[in-house]
Amino acid sequence: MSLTTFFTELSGPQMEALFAQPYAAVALFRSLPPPARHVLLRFAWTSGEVSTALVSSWARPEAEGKLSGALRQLTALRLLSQAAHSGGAVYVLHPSFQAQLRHVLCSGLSAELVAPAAAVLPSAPPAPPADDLSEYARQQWEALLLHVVDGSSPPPALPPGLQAEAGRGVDVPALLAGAGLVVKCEGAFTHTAITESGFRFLLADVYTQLWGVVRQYLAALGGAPGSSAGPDLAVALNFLLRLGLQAGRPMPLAQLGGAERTIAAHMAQLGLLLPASAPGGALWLHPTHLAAVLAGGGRSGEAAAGGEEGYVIVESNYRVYAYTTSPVQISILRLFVRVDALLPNLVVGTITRESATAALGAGIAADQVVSFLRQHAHPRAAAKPPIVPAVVADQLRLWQQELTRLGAQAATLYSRFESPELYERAVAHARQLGALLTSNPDRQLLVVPAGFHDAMRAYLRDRKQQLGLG
Amino acid sequence: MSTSEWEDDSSLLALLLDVSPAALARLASTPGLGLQSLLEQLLTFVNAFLLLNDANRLAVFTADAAGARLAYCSPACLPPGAAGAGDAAEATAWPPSVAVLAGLQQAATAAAGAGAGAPAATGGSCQLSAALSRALCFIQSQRRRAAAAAAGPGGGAAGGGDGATAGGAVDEMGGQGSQAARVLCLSGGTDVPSQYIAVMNAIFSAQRSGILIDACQLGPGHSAFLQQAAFLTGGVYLKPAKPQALAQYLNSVFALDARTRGMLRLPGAAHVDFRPSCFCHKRQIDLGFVCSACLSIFCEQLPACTTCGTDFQGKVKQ
Repeated sequence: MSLTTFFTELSGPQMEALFAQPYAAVALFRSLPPPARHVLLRFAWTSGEVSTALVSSWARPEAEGKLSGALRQLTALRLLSQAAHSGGAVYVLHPSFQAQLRHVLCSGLSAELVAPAAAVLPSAPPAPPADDLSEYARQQWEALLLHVVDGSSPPPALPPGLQAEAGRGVDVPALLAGAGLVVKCEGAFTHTAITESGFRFLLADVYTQLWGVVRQYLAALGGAPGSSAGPDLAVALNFLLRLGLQAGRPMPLAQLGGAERTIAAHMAQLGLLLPASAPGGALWLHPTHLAAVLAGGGRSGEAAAGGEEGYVIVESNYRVYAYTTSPVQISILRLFVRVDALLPNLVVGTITRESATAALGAGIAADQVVSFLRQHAHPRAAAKPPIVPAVVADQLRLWQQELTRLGAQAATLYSRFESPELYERAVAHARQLGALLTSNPDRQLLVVPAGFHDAMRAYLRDRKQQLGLG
Repeated sequence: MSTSEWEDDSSLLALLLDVSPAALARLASTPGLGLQSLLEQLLTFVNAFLLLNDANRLAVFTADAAGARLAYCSPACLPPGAAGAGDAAEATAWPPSVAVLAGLQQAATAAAGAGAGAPAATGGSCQLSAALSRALCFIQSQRRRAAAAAAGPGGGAAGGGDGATAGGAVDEMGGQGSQAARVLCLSGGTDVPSQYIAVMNAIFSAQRSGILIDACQLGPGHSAFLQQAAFLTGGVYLKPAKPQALAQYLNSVFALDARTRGMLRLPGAAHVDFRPSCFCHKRQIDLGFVCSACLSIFCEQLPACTTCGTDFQGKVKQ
């Protein structure tokens, strides 16, 4: 889940509504790969229509694939569309997007962020220390992750002072259940259990996690992608992205509109905003690094690191040392590591065949485990590649392959061909279609996937008529 | 997802703007490109650059006959915990373009004040060598700080470094090396042959540290210095055919980061003027005499090399 996938799911009017403000346009722009960004930049000052031939001539011969990949992505996002114009094919840039892009280019990013009523804004209180901000964000987000792992632990609580705006706050358990991360098990006593996608969620990077939750949150607001409730979704999403683009600039709660206030309170509960009282008693909200991650386009480095330091060291003897005291991190590690010792600041464990296959069986991919270990590597380990020893990474993949040694696939078996020639031709045709699963010339047997049955049947009928066998 | 492929396309850009009186007079009289239009188009480029990536860093220098001044730099480039901390908070309250404009104005007035006492050696043209060196020093200091910050947390016992890392280390988390850096010279003047040695030295040090030098020549004729700078460092030299469309040149050529340049076609220099200046009279020459020991260049035959003292008497034949 990311910002770009979120946009592909939107309906036309919803996109139109989103581009009424620059934040969505900027965040979307930044989450695109560089070639796509530069293509958009070149489009910004045109009439919005550039002939496809001209656009494809922009690429160097050796990089044509990359440019056409970027163009495909832009078309999938509906930022560019192809049209015919005076005899030639042209790319047309989304007009509202172009308007926002031009606006940002002319007046700069932050110009937008100074509210029209800037003159009456009270001067901002000093920002809380960076440590407090990231500590608060970590604490709220970890509470949410812990709730995914263990349904009995309390979900993140609404910070005090925001009850007026948010009532009882976000119903985190319902949110997680809605996102398919946990399921409620009705039984002798009701409890929640983590699902396959919940496991994958835990191992994903913060950006993916955030978007998974935010998407569900927006859907719960009534603006599910594809539905018609456009304006609310636009307001909410633009507000969320504004938080991130405004990184480091606090906003007074009293200045926000009604809908935004509720969302702000909810985001404070999720750890994207830190509420703090100014000396005058007014409540100010300070965006944390999570807000920046949300709008940051999923590049690792700056956004994902967010002040969080790695803590995992993996040795080539499958030993895992994790310098952490966080219950979330320990329980995530427990998904695929057999914990041998819990010390005050250190977890020592081993990746064993049993622990790994248990995780793989629960729907986690080996690559996810490896990328998790890599992402959270201790700085000392990260300085010396390979961060995860090749033997460990390979073994995890081998264990995964072991689990999928046998696969079932619906297929059609053809036998009793009228003539050897017909058989040979049928095999050749199947091979040409890329549909040949197996064949046995001795027994004149041919197997193709079930999806190709119709094509094969039509071909065989034609052949039989040609050969006069029909 | 393919995002990992694009992990680090952020860059540090040092923008050199020639504000020497000669250049300003020329730019003001260029048809279709007044000073105001130039600044407007330049600010569009600044906005575009900062929009491309939230980790992009910008520094703007003005260069005139008296030297180079820092007009603006991204808040993240300021030394952490310096007296500038208050200014940084203030700077973020304004869009960068406004801050750039204010910085340019300040530099221009300072230049006007100092203009009376400025040496006339450069004939009113800007000190390209000084400006390039200033920009390179700035980039180098940013890299050092980033490297120190990156080494801080790994150093274990260096607890004191943590405060400093909060601002600067973030750039370094993604990549192994330092952030890609480049210099963009917007020149409005002509080459000053007497600066040949200093400019070449600056170019070679940029080449060594992997810093690209881009050049956009708005002055009369081509600039041999800037052509060589772009050629040797792998940058782009461009003399806009239509200076009034400056923004389009800036946004579609100079906004590209080093890696993306490998994917898109760029206007290349058809011909690079490699003529050097002689070391004795600072004249641009086609043919000359070269010292066999130190490779110094002279426009006339000398009895001994003025640089290294090698005796040419009776050894040099024309």
